[in-house]
Amino acid sequence: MIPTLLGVSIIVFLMLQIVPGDPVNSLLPPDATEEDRQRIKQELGLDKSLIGQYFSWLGNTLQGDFGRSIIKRLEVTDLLFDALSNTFILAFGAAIFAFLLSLIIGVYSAYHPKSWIASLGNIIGLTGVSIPNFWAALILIGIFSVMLGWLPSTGMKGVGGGGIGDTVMHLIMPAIAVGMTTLGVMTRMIRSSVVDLLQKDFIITLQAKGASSFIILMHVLKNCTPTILTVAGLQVGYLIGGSVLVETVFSWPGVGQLIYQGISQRDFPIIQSGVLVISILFVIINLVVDILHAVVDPRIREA
Amino acid sequence: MGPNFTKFSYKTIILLIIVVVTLTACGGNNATSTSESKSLVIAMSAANIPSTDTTPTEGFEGYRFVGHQLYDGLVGWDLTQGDEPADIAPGLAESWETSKEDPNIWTFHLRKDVTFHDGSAFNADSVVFAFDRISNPDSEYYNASTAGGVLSYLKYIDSYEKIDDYTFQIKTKEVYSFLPYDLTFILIPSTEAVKEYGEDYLSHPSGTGPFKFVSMSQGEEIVMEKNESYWGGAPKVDQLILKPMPDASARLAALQSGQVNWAEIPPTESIEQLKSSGFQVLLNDYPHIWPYMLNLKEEPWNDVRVRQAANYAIDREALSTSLLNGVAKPATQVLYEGHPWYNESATKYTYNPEKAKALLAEAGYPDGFDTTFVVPTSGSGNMWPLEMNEFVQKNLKEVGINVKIEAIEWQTLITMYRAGFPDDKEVDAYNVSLAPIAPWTFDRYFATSSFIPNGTNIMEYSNKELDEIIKKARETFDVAERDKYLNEAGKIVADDAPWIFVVHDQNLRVLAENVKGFVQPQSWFADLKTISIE
Repeated sequence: MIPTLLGVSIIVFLMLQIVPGDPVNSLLPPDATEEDRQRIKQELGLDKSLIGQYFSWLGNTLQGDFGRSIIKRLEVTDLLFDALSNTFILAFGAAIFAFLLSLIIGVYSAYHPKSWIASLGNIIGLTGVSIPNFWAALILIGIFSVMLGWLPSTGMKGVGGGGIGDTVMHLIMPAIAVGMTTLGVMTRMIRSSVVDLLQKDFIITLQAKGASSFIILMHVLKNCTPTILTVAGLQVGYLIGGSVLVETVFSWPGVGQLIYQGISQRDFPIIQSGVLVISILFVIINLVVDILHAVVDPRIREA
Repeated sequence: MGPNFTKFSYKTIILLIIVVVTLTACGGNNATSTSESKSLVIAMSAANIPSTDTTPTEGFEGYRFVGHQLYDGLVGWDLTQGDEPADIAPGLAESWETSKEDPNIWTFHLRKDVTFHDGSAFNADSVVFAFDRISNPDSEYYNASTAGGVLSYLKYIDSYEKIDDYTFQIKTKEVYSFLPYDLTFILIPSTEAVKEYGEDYLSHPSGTGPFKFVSMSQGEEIVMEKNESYWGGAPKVDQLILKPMPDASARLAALQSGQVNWAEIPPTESIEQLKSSGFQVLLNDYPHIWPYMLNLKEEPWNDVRVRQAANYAIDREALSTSLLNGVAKPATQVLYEGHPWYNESATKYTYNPEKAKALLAEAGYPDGFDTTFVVPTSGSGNMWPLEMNEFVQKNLKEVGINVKIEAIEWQTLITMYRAGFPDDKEVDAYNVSLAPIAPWTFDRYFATSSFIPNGTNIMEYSNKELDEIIKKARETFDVAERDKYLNEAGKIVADDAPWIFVVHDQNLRVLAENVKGFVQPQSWFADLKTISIE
């Protein structure tokens, strides 16, 4: 784990050095001179050597200090904390939407391949993964905000608003837009693994022994849990790190948006620490998924 | 399940797409009023909330919505009318004059009844503190980030001092009549607030402006409330809320669904629909120019005939009306028609490909030539750079100038641009939009003394006659005389064509029907005090 994170931090750092552009530009008016740029760069200590910059960042980070944003001039820790909480809300909403719906549609259409729900499952499986989610976001806004006026199209709360209800209203569309891909992937995966399991010898034996359909369903679900967990684990990572475009369309102040803005302004402390924190999350989620595997699947525990 | 199903889902998808597109296209708007009737809620085009310090980030949009709302400078802008270019007006200084014996000495008489939002009093000490903070690296409260934004406005200031509690004096390095324009960018913070909050000042900004800071949540919004005791008259709305929304469609949706009542630059295709559903679509001239800065150090652009040829080759009318739906006007000079520095008798670059070809042939390029333009992909004031550049590319190709467009991300481009034309890379022009808002325009962009690194005359364009006129303009304190010189400068620059002039933006913004009392000024800035919501 430590080597992975160290590696990530070095790669991100080096990439930032290769990319041209300079955070100082965001502090200067467009007609400022080259002389001004050099002077401010020096005064802000951004002209130090590469290795020196990296180690001073690493040293501070190890002490839990992410430093200050160069452009926003606020504590990176505070910025990241707020943005991550918002991203978690979005990822959580998207996960609930995608996991629940895919489980229901996936299992049902495996049982009833000729039903309309199975057809719906097919459409979702196809469109979910093929429609770009920022486009879906715009279409959702067009229908539910502009035409029908049911849902708000931006931000996390209304003007002067607040409270959980208000946030939930703001969450619905972004959660659907972000969760769509996951829904598509998981519906297909759950359906095919359930179809597969239904033809397994142990299920046929259960049927022959006269087990109720509920008992059989439980057996099926238990046996496809490891597959679902693996895919879901990967998808959670995607939901946290991969919603940049949707966050931009809905002006959702999450970590994707924060890092994206950091990149466009070359705000090194935000990018560097933001990527590090996301990497840590990825590693932790993978670890949790591995542990859960062992919990639900005795075969892995024994191995 | 196989083939039949695929066919079915195909049809369904196509049908769904058709339904959705039709619905979206026909969609009127049925929710125009905001729930909070006394809040002015603005969808900004900036991606970030501008810094709340005295030098806002996010370019002039930052000054427009944050800087000038929270703070005042000694000098401000008169934004009350839209028929003429906005000019300066008294700010925290009621009046000012230069000394008869020494025109380098400026005396400012400050307002006496002004308090900062935190309750502390405004006086000459506040002004000295503000200047120390941005120009005196030895001062305890010097802040390099804040200084960066205003360095170019401090260039001519030699020294400054407090004369008495309400009198402040500035000494310039040479005779410089444009000083008041520079001072509009130097905003005055509360000394006490800066000292008390230190690095956290940005979360507790305190100025003297028409709106007070309330709260800010990053990436989402900044909330301000009206300053009841504003010296220039309290704003009519109770609250001002700014939301950064870099995506034009998102701004449009937020406006149509009533979540904001003011949107900067929605997609131009939406203008007609917005008008017909009762929104106020505002356009006006303002000092903006979308040009190409040419590399005059090398062939072929060192030949004035080639530069004029390129200027004749562009169909600006079609670009402004067809491509941009009328949100821009053709530009043939630095300033627009009707502006005092627009020169009537200068070469008029109409769309004339034949003349362009003739000029090219005369210059020795009958078959044209290849050239490379570096252009941005986005960025403040750059409008719709890719579409517009492709349009110009086609125009120039018709006369034989084969442009290779190199589109570069904005931050990278601005770094390159500041450093001028590189020696190790083929760059013949930069496409960067500028704001010729003050009399220093010609001085900064075209004077020989503004070569890199002292200025942004990256073309290395040099004309002795122009340099003299600029100097005269800089040294006269008579506004009419100054404008006469700058008008002449406008002609010289247009005739010499160190730039390819393309269009002037028209400052598109859309307001909800119930937002009353706003005047769209000929300026990058805006007066929000007069607005009421009915």
